[in-house]
This record gives sequence, structure tokens and C-alpha cells, in this order.
Amino acid sequence: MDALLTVESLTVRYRGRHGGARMGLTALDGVSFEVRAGTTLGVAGASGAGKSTLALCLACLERPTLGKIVLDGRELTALDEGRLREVRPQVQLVFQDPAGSLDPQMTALEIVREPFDVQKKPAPAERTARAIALLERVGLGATAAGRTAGEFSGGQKQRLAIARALAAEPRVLILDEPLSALDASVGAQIANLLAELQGAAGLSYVFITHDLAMAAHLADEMIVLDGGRIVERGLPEQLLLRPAHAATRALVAATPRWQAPGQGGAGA
Amino acid sequence: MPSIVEVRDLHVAYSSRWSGETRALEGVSFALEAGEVLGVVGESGSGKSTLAGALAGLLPPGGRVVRGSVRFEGRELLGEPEAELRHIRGARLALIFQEASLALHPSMRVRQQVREVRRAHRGGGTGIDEAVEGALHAVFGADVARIGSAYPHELSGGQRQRVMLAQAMVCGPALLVADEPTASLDPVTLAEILKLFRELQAARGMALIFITHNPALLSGFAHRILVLYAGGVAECGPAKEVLRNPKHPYTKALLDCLPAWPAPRGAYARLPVIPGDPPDRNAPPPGCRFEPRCAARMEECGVREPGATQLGRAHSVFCFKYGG
Amino acid sequence: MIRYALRRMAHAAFLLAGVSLLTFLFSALAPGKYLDEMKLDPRIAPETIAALRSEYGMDQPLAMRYARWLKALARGDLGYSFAYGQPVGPLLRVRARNTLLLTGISLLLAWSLALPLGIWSAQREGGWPDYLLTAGAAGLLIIPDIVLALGLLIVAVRTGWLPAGGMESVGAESMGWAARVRDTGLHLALPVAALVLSTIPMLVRHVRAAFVEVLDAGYLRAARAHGIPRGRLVWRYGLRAAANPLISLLGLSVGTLLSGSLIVEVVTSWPGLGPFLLEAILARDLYVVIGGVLLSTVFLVCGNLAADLLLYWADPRIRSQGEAA
Repeated sequence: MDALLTVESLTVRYRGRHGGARMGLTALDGVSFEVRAGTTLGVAGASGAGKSTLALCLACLERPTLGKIVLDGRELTALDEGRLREVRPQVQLVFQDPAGSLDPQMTALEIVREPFDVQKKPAPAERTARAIALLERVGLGATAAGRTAGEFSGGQKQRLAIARALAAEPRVLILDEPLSALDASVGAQIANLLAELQGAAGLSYVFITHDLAMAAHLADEMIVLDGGRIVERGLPEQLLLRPAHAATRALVAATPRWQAPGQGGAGA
Repeated sequence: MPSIVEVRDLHVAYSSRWSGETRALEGVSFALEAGEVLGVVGESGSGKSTLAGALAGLLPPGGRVVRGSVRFEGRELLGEPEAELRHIRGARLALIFQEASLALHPSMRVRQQVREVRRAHRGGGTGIDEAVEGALHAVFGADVARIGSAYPHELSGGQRQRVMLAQAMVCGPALLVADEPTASLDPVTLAEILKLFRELQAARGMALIFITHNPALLSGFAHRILVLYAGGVAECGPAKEVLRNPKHPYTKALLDCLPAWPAPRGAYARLPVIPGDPPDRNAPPPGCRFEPRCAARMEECGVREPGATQLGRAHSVFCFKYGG
Repeated sequence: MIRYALRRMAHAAFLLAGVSLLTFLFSALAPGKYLDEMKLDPRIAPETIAALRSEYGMDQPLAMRYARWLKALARGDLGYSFAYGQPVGPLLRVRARNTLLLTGISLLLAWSLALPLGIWSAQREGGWPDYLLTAGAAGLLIIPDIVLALGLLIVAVRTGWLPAGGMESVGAESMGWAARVRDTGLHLALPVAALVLSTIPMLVRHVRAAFVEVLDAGYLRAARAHGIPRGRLVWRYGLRAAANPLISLLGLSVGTLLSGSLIVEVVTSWPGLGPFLLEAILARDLYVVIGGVLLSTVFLVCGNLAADLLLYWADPRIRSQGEAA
């Protein structure tokens, strides 16, 4: 299977001043990986490892200093703003904090319709119907259409954010810690929804998280970031059962051991 | 051993102009002995933060205790005047909130903030500096000098949480109530803070109520676990029992939701989930709160609420499957 | 800190230069010149007027006059008043002192009242005392400064409790020191009252708003949880946290008080910059006008600079930003 998304030597450097001295900050340093269509790439790392910067670059919200991002043969990093606007719908971002990324005064319907209005397709007559269909697809139902975003619970907001992302008909979803702000049971629901959507629509995911257990559960392949670099990559089981790099080991050690009682095992 | 804190049949409600009366906690009871760690597991809307607030007499505006009793060190706290409660808070009963970044004063240095707590209870004079340095040392180890003079916005999330812990510990309380102290932390920092909690709790023989939405954090740490659902107790018992052999359907379902570690079930496997959403607290339906989402529901469950069933020593469950 | 202060002072210098230029421009471009009225007087010969014109340098182009004025300013010479026939500097000095006295006392009094009132109101947010205070403040806010001043003047005249104008009673020079202070104080009462009443509503509202936000904040709730006593919570924790918006408000209030003082001084005949400036404008006394406006601007800028520095000291977050920028 060909790679849908290819990232080559992505480097992001910030220049700034801190405490009176000029400083450079390297958020990403020579990051390269591939994501095949219909699969999930898990990106793990501690705080400050560069995960959020990676998310912003992939969603073309941040220009890298060096390197390139290629989506389905098209080099995104070489496009100017005008061309980029056409391609943007194909890569959508779902944020960690659903409350922060949704306007609490807008209704669910308005939020999901917005991408249609911005891209000017489909025809205006169809937009509402499509939006409602998306709401149902993510489990919110048509009755939720008229409620404002502020009235939803955390899990429902995240569903709404996913519906909005889907409205753009993306090929790739960049999910930046989508479950971190949610309760365990709600997170499980959203994780299942994501798995289901991937199976049905052939979406590819870049799943960024520091929750290793969830990443391992959802990912086909994983990379570990530390200090802006990829320090380890491989299949989830490999990384987690036999971590090689210190950063990976630290993450693995920090995740609490858990065996659900229903799995016929002792608790802890 | 005498109980440090004993809560009996606590009912807390919020009233506001637009949503009327919301029942946040109903019939919560538990007891905690000196040096014990009680893990309170609850998801959003379960009432866990209300419980923390009710214990310290610090409910948000609109909240009030409808009935019940909270006995701390043999003394009934509900109904005590604010002036009395103030002496207990911070000194005997310490409270740590979620979101350490919001809980620290933005324009005061760290050392000063810890000092204020000690000063409020033991006054100025000799001993205050030692106590403050001692508390800072206990949470920060070596780096105390630099961090003590820093402002909160110069610190990381984990460091701020440590400052909160120092503030809580500086007067040597008998009970510490921590409301989701690790919520916004990344795993490595979370593990460190958790370790700090365990060490301090063991070293000082403090009773600890650790509130979290992730039961996995409590294994090997809590002595007893209380599971809250939609304002009521689902189950309360010894930690090992509750985690390995949960009785209440909600507890079982919740524990099943968490992805296993370190043995993942493989990609595309579906996580067992609890279908539906938590109930609307403004208009709760009759019967057991969990009934609409319960896989094991029976007819009785939709009619009235179950009472407590004692299963073995200090293990109670609120479910008709076991009597109710 | 020094760099921050220097930067702010550089801003201030820019501001002053701009103000001086604009004032010069507007005054010179305004219809009518000082000598126009004299021209209308048939008793004065045109040659005299021409001579006066060249003496005062009014026949020179605008840019040159501005350059000359700037040069003179560098020497500390503010120009010459046509009407009084004296250098502007000393004329302004006395007036400036009186205005400062009035504004300074009003500032102090207004804040001494606004702070406790605002805090008291914020603590009772939503209750009827809060509502009453807010309504009262709104009511005061609606009344224009000039109406307030006139109203108070009428009360003073009718009741005779307070002197109705001026700064000193007749024969003040012969009074003893204590008696003079009391005398000045009585004369101050009216203008101060007018100024304070006109600024207090805005102050109270902002203090209240700042405190409502602070009292609701996580760190205040956490401090309560630590058992910090009530009084300390408000004055130590609350005030420090609210310092940021309040200090900015302080800077702003200096500005509003200064502009309000113009009207109040005129109405209550307080011998400050206000009436003097008004007179000079009407008489087209160019250099007095510019000098007066510049002086007021200097006060304003100093007030804001002081507020900026105070803010820098009070809020550590600004310090970090200031260093990083």
C-alpha cells in the first residue's frame, strides 16, 4: 500500500528571546515518517517533545523551517496560500480541548455546516441535510442539531468536533490528544467511534497522545518523540513490551499497570 | 482505631435561577481511619468535586448541604460557623484542587504563598521559616532555593502541583483531600506526583482522600475505594476487592473500559463501553441512577433506588442484584 | 526595570513632541490672530500693529516659528504672553501648582472612597446593596461634570457653608499658617467635591468589576481552602491580584481628572490652569495656550509613567514579558 502522507526531515525552529538573551528553540528536528491510507500512526511523547508542533505542521497551520510534507503526491509545504486552501480540507485537525475549539454560542448544526459554507459545496439546499447526517454518524442525533455547543458534555463536544472535521471530507485526521480531557468511559466511546469511522471511510489517523495505553490500542504503527526527534518507532507491542530508548522506557514505566477484571485477570 | 472522618447520608444540592434545584450528592456515607487512603472514583457529573467541597465547607455559590453529617476528628463540621471552619481548613484538613495553575496566586512568590498558609494558622514568630522550608524541601528536594523565589507562571505544571502539596502539608494536617491532583499532567510527571503523594502520605501517616476519574491510578495505592455515580455511591470497599472483583455493574463496566496495559488487545479491537450518557441531574428519572445504561438491569431497578447491601467486612454496594 | 522605564520615557517624549506640534498647528491655523482685535480698534495705528507683529514674530512662516519655539523650549523658555506681556513660564507655574493641588487631592480622595466601595460591592455581588450602589453610580455618571459643579456651586451660594469660589479669602496673607491651611481647605472643598463626584462612578464600577473577577478566581478559593482569614484574603490576595487592572485605571483616572479639572476650575473660579487657558484661547494668546496644553500633557504623561512603573513592580508577569520582549 502506498503511503498517503509522507513527512521528510521536518524541522521547525523558533527564534526568540528569553530573559534578555537570544535563543533558538528547535521544536522538531528532522522528523520523517509515513502514514499509509486507512491506518493509524500513533505519536507518543512527553510534554514538550514536539507533538503539538507536529500536529500544527501537518494541518498546515505552521510552516516548517525545513523539510517537506507530501499528501497523496502533492507537496503541501511547497504550495502557496491560495493552492493550500484547496488542499486544506483533506487534512483536518481535532483538538484536545473541545470546549476551546468550538464556539459555545453556535448550534451544532451551524458548526457542522460551516465547512460546507466555506468551501461552497455541496449545493446550499443539501447542506443542512448533510450536516444532520454527519451528526447522526457521530452518535449525536438530529435532536442535537439545535442545541448550542455550550450545552454539550465533554464527550459530546468531541463528537461534534469530529463531525465538523468530517464535513470537510478529509483523507487524514490529525488528532491531538483527543481523549485526554475526557473521562475514561467517554474516551472509550470516542475511541470506538474513531475506529469505526476509519473502517467505514478508510480514513487515516495521526493519533497524538501521551496516553500510551490508548495509543497502543488504536495504532497500527507508533513513533516516539523526544526533544523534537523520533527516538523510536515500530509496532505498538514491540515498543511497549520491549522499549529500547530511554524516553520510551520512561513513558512505559509511567503508565499505570492495568488489567481489566473482565479480562480474566487480577486487577493490579 | 478512631475514624478521622465519618460522612453519613450526605445530601448536597445546587440551586440556581435558571436550572432550579440540582441534586449533586445523595445519601453518600463512608468512614476513613487515620493513615488510610480512600480513592474516590467518579466521572464528570458524579459529584466528586462537590464531595471535596462539602467536606471542607467550601461549596460553590448556590450549593448547600440539604442533610447529613460530616464528622471530622470527632467533631461535627456541618453547621459550624465559618470562623471555626477556617481554623480547621488548611491546618487539620487540607484541600488540593484541580488545576494547580489556577490555584496559585499569580503575583506572589512560591515561598510566600506557603508561608501565608502557615502564618494563618500558627502565627508568625519562630518555627515558621523551618516549617516552610521543610514543606518545600519535602516536595522539591534539592532545588528549593531557586524555586522558592519563583512565581507560579515561571513553573511547570508538575512544579505547581508540588507547591500546592507544600501548602497543604505545611501545617501537618490529619486529612488531605486531593481533587484530581494529576488531571492535567503528562504521564511522567503524573507518575512522579503520584509517587510523591504516596511517600508523603506514608511518611506522615496522614489520611488521604484521593479523587480521580481514572481507577488505574489507585491500584497499589488506595486502601479503600468509593465509586460515585451520578451523585450517589455505587460501591465502597477494600481497594483490591473493588478493582479485582467489582460488584456494581457500573464499576465493572468502568473498569472494563480502560485499555489494558501492558498487554494491548490489538488494533481495531473495540473497547467495551458504557452506552449512553450520565443522567440529567436536574430531572433524575425514578429508580436506580445507572439503570438506563446497565447491562444487568431488572424490573425493580427502574422503580425505586437500591439501598446499601453489606458484602463482607466494610464492603457495601448499592444494587438490587445483591439485595438492595 | 531601567530599560523598561527608559522605553516608557522615550514614548513619553514622542508623545510630548507630537502634542506640541499639533497644538502649535491648531492654534496657528485657528481663525483669528491675537492682533485681529487690535486691528479693529480704530485708535491703534496700522504701523503699531505691524511693529507688534514683527516683534512677536507673527510675520514669519509657521515652520520657522515652531523651530524657534522648540529652540527656546530647550532653554526652558516657554515664550511670551501677548496679553500679559510677561514670559509664559512663571505665569503658568503658579496656576500649575494650584491645579496640581486640586487634582492631587481629588485623586487621593476619589480612590480612597472608590476602593472600599468597589470591594464592598463586589463582595455582595448580586445582592441589593450592590444593586443600589451600581444604580447610584450610574446615576452620577449620567450627570455632566459641568452640571455637577454648577449644582454644588448653587448649594454653596445658597447655604453659605462653603466659599463660592477662589482659593483664598480676602486678607489671607495676614493669617497664621494653620488658619491659612484651613482657609485653603474650605475653598478646596467645592472643586474637590465636584471632581470627586464626577470621577467616582467610573472608578467604583471598575474596581467592582476587577474584584468580582478576582474574588471568583481559583487562587482565592484555594486560599480560602487553606484557611486564610477573610480580611487578608481581600486585602493581601485580592488587591495584589487586582492590581494589574486597577493600576491601569489609576493612570487613566489621572487623565480624566485633569480634563475634568478644566471645567470645574472655571465654574468654581479655582485659580488653576483651567480658567487661565480658557482666557488665553479666547484671546488667541498663542504661547500661553501651547505652554498650558504642554504642561497638562506633561502631568498626564508623568501620571501614566508612574502607573506603568508601578504596574511593572506590582505584576511579575509583566516583568517577565518586559524582559523577553
